[in-house]
Amino acid sequence: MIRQLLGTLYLLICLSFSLQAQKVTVSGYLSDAETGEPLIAATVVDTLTMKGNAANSYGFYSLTLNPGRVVLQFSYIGYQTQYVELNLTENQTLPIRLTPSTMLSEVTVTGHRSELGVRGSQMSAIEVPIAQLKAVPSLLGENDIIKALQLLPGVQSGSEGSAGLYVRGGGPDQNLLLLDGVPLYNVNHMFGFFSVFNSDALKNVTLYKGSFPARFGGRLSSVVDVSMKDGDDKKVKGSATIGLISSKIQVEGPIIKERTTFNVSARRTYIDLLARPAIRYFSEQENEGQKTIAGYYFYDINAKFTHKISDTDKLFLSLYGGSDQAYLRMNTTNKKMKDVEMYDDVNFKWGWGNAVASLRWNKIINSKLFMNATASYTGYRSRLNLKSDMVESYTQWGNDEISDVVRAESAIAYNSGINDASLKLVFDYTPNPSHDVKFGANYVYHTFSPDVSAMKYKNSLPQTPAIDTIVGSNKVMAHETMLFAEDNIRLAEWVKVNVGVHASSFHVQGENYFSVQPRLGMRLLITDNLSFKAGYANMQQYIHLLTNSTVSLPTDLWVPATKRIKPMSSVQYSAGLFYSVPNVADFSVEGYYKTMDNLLEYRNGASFMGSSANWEDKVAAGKGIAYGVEFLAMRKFGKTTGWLSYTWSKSDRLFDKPGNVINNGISFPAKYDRRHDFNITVAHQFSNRFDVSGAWIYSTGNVGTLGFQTYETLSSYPHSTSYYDMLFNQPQTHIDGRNNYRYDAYHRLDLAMNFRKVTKRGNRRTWSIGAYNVYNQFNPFIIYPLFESHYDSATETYVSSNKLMQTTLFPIIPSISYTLEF
Amino acid sequence: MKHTLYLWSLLLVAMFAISCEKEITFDGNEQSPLLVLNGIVSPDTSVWVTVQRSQFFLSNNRSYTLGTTAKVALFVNDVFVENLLPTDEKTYHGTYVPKTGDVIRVDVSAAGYPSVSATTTIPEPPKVKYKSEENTSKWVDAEVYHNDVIIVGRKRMQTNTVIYELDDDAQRGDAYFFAQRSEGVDYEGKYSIQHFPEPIRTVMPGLGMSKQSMSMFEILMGESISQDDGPIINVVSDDLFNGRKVDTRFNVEFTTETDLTDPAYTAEPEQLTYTFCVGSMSPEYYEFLVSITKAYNNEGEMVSEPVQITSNVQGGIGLLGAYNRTLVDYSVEYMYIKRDYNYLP
Repeated sequence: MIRQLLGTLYLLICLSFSLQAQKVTVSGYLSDAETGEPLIAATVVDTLTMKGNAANSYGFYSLTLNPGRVVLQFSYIGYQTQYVELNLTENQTLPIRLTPSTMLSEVTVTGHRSELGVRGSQMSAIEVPIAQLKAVPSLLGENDIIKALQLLPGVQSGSEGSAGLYVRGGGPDQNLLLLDGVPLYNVNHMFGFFSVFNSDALKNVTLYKGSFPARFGGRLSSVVDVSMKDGDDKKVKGSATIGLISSKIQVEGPIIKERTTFNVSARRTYIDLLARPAIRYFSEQENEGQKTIAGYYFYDINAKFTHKISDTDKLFLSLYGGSDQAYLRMNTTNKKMKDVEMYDDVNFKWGWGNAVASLRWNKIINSKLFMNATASYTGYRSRLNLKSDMVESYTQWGNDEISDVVRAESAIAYNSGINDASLKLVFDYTPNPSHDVKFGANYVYHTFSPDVSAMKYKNSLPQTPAIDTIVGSNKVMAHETMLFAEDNIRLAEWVKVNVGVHASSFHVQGENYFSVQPRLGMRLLITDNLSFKAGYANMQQYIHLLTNSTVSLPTDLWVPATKRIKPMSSVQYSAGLFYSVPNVADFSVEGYYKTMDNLLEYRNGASFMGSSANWEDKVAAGKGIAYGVEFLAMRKFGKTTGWLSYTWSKSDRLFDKPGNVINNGISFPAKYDRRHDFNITVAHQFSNRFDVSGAWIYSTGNVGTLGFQTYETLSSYPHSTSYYDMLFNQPQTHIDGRNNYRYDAYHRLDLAMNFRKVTKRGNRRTWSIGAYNVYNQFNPFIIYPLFESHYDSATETYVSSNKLMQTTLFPIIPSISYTLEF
Repeated sequence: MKHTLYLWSLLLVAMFAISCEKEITFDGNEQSPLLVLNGIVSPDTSVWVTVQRSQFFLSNNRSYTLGTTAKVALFVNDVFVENLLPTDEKTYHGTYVPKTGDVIRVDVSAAGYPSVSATTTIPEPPKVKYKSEENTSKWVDAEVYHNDVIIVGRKRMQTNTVIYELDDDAQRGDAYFFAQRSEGVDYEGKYSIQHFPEPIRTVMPGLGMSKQSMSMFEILMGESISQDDGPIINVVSDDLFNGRKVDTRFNVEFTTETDLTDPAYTAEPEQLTYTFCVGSMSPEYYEFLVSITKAYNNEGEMVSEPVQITSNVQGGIGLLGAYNRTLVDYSVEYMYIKRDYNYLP
């Protein structure tokens, strides 16, 4: 069926290409008139024929038309539409700068042809303006785009506060998070309560949940494509924010006016600095002579430099560095013994984070062909160091006389991580308004460093040998190669298809994996504002994340597919209706059906604490099935913006293959299987000085595993002896199925208010006040049984007191921050 | 300023400590108790099982006793053999002694509970053949206590290692256990029988450790080696040697210390008899042991997957398992250090 469909499409493509003789092409960059920022997906339309095209991710557009007089209309949401009259005789380069509209509500948006809209062929994708994402109220006032994405249909958040994305029944490691086109392996700070994306540095975010274009690959469930701002090319400006737990600053501007720009932003938390006096005080109260400095902080630095070499060539250098740091320095000095000062010094540091660098070259080869070449590096590393230096005394047996004074020094180091070096070449070819072809190749050299530990120990006793050893897994290298081609074809005014293929190979430890992944998207325009879309995507993923829980820990490890653990794969079908009410809102309803194979689940009792040793023994491979319906109503412009989303979904797992049996081979709900998710996010601008936003979230409760029965086993077993039988002599818990208990529904309301004022110097200052979980709902984070007993002296028996307990992570949390824009 | 900092600190600590715990009501149907059937059958003894009831996990009643009213029927190879009779509030005994290859089924019914049934098969006894022996003994100088003072004395160290070849069947997935029993005199000179499991890491050195290697980081984080703890210290499946002949090593070690300055001590040869046991277990018995050990190691863990203790009791809970075993006697002579308490110099 798919082969026949592809054959038909090929014929149509050939026919379409043959009709382009005697045409001329207008091309160039579409950008913001004030800042020079490229306008992604801005549109150009020939007002006579109504043929048009959209700018790509770098603002490049190309439109091929018949020679003669034309009037081109350039438009973008939030910008004044611009008309340009041309007499086309030959190919022409035409850079366009659109002026932002000061009155958003009065903007007339016409001919918006973004591929994500009603008229585009792309479905299961949502583009949300950064300003709108930043308006979503957030935990402790830290704007977080990942948390905002969790409010979109088909996306779930995992547990309370977690920054993980669970998209259409997938896992948290199945999302390709791209920062300027480069994957980020760990997007979490502070155990997942915050993401690494500093919203001040960002320009655009697009989430793909299905019907993936062929240019994306390597993950099963989603692509989050995040672009950093290039920087203003005319004047230096920026902002500084002081918040409850962190401060951040962002500066952008021209290095060479309208030619070279920079955009630098940085953020650091200061919980450690604020908590330091309390920690020191309590430490001294606890132990006399002990000085303790302990803390935790994280920081991010984003930097982007853009250089316009010519009208056709641009260079971009994007840098990101972010890290979480936990530390403990403890010094204890006791009294002197035998003229020797006794002391104990402990120095502990644990740091983990990402580093990303990419150098990109955009070139307009000709009016129809655009090239994007990228060399990049991305790495994630977790590094622990523990050093101890102590002098201790040993007393003689039976009295307090000191027999020995021993000095012992020890050091333990632990390292794990993943590093990728990558080369990528992508071409955009727009032969005529009916075709938008993308093709390219990507090579990634992966270096997995699962875990390496080093230990040193020596003491002053002559009979104790020194230890100096390194243990752990060796580095594993892997080569991943991807080739892709896709064409976005307008077969007729009412029919548009996006057909593509993504081929990839993965070579690791003598093992070769290869896959060809067809992709297909289709749009049928029913009326001007109503379309039907359908999509098909086959995906393959060669890497796995070993993680222990729902929270992100620095012990999480990325490991490659192996001979025993095959790559994960998925097939997803989706279809939906898209409706747009001009100048009001966009509506969509989508259904999807996804099957997944070689998914990993942890075996009973398995846990990962930073070690990849025998990891293949700790997991089982099985299948997953997920399906659901999503509804979205979104308004992106005007004084009132926001969205309303509802998802009905189901996600199950089946692990029944010999050697990979979980839950006795019976299907069970996935960890974040939820039937209903409802979110409403609204922001309203009352005036230039005051705006309010709110978000209400409701979802079916998570599932957890509980044993509903307790029972006794035999008190001893024939193979064993009484010494080892002790664990049998206590009641055991009978668990009849994995994820067998559904928690209470989750809901909360977040609110935020912004008070803005322009100072005499023209700077804008903003006070932001907000609250997370306004009505203080005690949502379940984890539920567990508590078995207790106490001795009843009246009856001289032990009386049981068994309870079901719930831990709530975040009750109401207020926040306040101050921002100065200059 | 200092006070302001303290205030900030306390506010922050308070903010991150506001996560709270509370007791909640169970949001589901309280499940009725189930019958619990447990028993391990073998050719060593007549069939006996225990029959109890489970309790809802939030019930404060922790009595699992059912009484003696259950009807417990024994079937061998699908033929009814006898009803097992109660000998106390939970134990039911029969007279039938199983044979190798018997398919043992126990059906239990009791008023007010759904009936349950469990089946197991008596495995073949392991094929074990004597292969060789490695014996060493030596006297070395050693520090020994003499009137609460450490002096140089002598220590005799003897190790007898007997190697048996275990012939594993390629057609089956087998599980084995190892134990030894010694009969002789203890350190007080009394006759005794000692029975203890033989750890896999000594019976099959290489094999056990390779499965249980772990990183220093796991040790640092307090992760225990589950396979090396508890009741499965002497249990192994044939995953790594299916269909092969593998050596199993039984060690007997003696260390005797003597104070040469004290003529009250004399060293005399002593004979001791050991019985080495290689047992085969039914798959459900092995899986039960692995799962219950994991559950034990996992207790209190909030972040790892909870462990389902396996059960082969249809309609209820528990385990009906089976084992068979091959016993080998081994006699050894060692130097027994004897002190004559009546000795007068």
